[in-house]
Amino acid sequence: MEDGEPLIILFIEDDPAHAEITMRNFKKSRIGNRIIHLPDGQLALDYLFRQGGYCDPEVSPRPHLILMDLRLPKVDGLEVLKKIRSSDELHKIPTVILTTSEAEADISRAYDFNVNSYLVKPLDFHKFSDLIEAFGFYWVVWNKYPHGNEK
Amino acid sequence: MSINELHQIDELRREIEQLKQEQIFFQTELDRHKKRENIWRSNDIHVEDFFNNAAIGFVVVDAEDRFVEVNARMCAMLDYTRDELLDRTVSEITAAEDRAVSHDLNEKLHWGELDIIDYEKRYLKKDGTPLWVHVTVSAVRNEYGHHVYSIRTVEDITKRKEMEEELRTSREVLRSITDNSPDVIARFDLQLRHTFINSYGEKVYGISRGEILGKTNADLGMPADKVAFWNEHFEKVLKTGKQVNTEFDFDSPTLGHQYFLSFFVPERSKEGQVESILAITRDITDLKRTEEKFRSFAEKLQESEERLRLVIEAADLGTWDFDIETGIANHSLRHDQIFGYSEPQPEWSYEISVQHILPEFHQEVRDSVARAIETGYLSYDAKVHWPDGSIHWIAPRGRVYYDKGKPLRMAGIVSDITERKNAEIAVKESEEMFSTMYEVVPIGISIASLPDGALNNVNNAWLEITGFSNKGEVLGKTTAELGIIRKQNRDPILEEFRQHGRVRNAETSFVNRAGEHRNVSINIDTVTLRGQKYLISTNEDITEQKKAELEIRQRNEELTRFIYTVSHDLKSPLVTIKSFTSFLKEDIADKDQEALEKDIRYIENAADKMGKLLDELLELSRVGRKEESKTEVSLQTTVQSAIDLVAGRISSKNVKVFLSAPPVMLYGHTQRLVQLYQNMIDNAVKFMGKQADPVIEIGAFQDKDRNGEVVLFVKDNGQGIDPRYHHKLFGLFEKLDNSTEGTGIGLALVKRIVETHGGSIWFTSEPEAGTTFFFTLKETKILKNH
Repeated sequence: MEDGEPLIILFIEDDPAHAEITMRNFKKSRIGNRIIHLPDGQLALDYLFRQGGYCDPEVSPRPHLILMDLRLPKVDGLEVLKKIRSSDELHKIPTVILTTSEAEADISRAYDFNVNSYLVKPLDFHKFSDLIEAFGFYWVVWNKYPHGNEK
Repeated sequence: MSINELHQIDELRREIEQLKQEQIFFQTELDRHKKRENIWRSNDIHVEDFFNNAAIGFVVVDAEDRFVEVNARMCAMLDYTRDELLDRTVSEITAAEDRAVSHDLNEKLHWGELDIIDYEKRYLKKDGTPLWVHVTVSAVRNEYGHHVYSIRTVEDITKRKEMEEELRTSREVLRSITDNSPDVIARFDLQLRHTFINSYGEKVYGISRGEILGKTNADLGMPADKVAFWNEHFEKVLKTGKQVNTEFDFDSPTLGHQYFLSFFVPERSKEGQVESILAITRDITDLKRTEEKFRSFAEKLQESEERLRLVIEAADLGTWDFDIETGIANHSLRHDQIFGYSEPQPEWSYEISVQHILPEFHQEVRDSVARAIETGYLSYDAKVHWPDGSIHWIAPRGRVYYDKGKPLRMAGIVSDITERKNAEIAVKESEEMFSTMYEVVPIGISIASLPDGALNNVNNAWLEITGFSNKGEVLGKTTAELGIIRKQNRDPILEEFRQHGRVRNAETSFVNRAGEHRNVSINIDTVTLRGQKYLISTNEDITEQKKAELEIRQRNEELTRFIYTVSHDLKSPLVTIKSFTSFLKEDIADKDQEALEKDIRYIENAADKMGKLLDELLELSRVGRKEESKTEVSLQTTVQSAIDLVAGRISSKNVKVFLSAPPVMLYGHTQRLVQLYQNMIDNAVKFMGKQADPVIEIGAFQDKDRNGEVVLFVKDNGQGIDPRYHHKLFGLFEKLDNSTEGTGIGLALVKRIVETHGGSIWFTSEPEAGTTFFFTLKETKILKNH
């Protein structure tokens, strides 16, 4: 990313309520970056691999960061992760999981596929806000991204 | 008178006596002579009478050999008349063989060489038969000394000849006997000289007869002590006049120790005086040796008999001996004891034995006896009543003795084998029990010989597991050869065996005859049977167990997944509620009405969702409970109820639902079956998509691929299901489209209901073409009442 250019974050979440909550928190934390929200795993893959309705790169710019839930309709979050990690073009993209599941098995499997970070949605709204704020700072402000993501 | 004078007087007296005696003598002689003369002078006896009445034949023959005069006796002897004889010559009626001798002698007589001749010859009687005669011939000569006539006496010596012949024959026989006798036969005269010796005697003495005869034993060089021995016996015979027998032995340098038996027989003269001794000596060495052997044999026999008696006593055997004809037996005390008597029984017989034997054995006893008479051996086991009421087993064993093929007696032993029989029976029963157990036990057992591992025995359960129909197919081969166990499965088991000498609960897989895989749990041990080492292996078919284990594991996994899924899916709306509750506070502060309404809506929806979720979960858990009884219910009724429940949604989407099935009788829980159809119809309606003419067809048919089983179906022409998501369809909470209502439980519930009714469910679907769900429920029947 060139300095000044906004970060593109691909946000995959099937529950509209949760999506709403997250987006609202992003707004509060002033993460004004481009957030592209997709509701299921299949659409996410279509977007990332530029197929289906997302063949045009203009419509599907490469994200710098992926934030997704594990439980997704059509294609599971873990499956999506797997496909990203095995793709020459996409494997470098940092992927963060944001999910309600604290299950050891889920965490373990996610890291098996080299997830960059695993976050659990807190029940408490305030805590959730704190989380999103921290997320923003870390990943948008502090974290450095590899070049050559575009195209 | 003087002595001389006395003597002279004596002499004279004696002379006178003598003269007197002589005178008497001469007088007697003279008297006799005169008597004789008188006979002739008195004419009482005439020459003719003499000639004719003589008891022998008289003939007169001329010089030409012709009969001139013959007497009556001669005629009678030869059966000729007087005239017939006078017509013939002597030669004519002389036997041909004798003519020569007769002629010779008569020539000598004729020519004066001899005056009287005598010889024996045969005349031929009238009938041609020969007659032996003794002929004396005296010549009558003329004044010139020439032979003119001969006067012959002819005496019939037939008898004498016969006797001579007999004697000769006897002599021949005797000679033959003595010569061929293997005994030394010698005759001794009163001076103990040999007067006869037979051929064998010559051999034994080693010298010829000529040198023996006339000599005593001493003369022949017999050793002095032997001579004395023989003479002693000679004396005894002569003294007592009786036969004496004796034995003696002799050390022959060539033949070893020899034994002899001698008979000394006195031979008497006509007067009864012993005139010679016949000594017959027999070599009895062999006989003596045989006697020795016999004696030692008899001793040995006695020893054996003694030993046998001891053995029989020690073995506690009773002995018996039956006369087959009478049935009466000799029996020992022990024999009676075996029949239960403490005292010896006064009498015993075959009948008495049979009386003691239990009736169920009588046929066998009869058969055994019949067999014994044929084969010579008796053997059977039977139960007997003791007088005290107890039952014992006896085992008679015996032999039959025959005389010229006829069975005479049967003899043998009997023993009490009660203990042995009971032990045998116990062993047999135990064996039977074990054998039954072996065949009946539901675990496969195989016994294989070492080191090749070839099967030696297998039980029925083993055959069932491996799918072979009989033991014959497998014995002698190894499990590897039979293809029961694959090498990769066999090797680890062999390894464990090699290391530990046994195998414990090794789980592996067999391939049975039909090619199916069966899970087995194997235990192997070594066992030594009759000195040989074998492998004994138990194989338990745990296929069903494994399936059950798998099912449980799967269920557990399902449960775990279920719990995670549930907790996740309940947590989710909870997060929503809590978050939006906080937002509410913010939005109230901001006085953002629109946001407030949105917030509240989110909260309400989330709460509803949670509620619905919990309700449906409860429903799902209730399906298949034991309280849910099944009955027969018609498909038509069920479907109608279901349609009624979903009526609203059906009409709102203008869906046509129709029943194309023939009359079908379902069997199940009424409520659940309605629920099933309700969910299916609901699902079909929900996913009609952009279909302008939505139709749902509900039907049933008999599937020949499923052996005529009734298959039910619900078919829609809606949007179909993307093939990529087919496998997720029945998953709990799997919603392929989150925009639709519903908890995602619906189809899971349908699947569960189908399964608890003993059926299965599947579907076919094409995107944009519609979906058909097929399912079976146990005991569904198509009614044929057309």
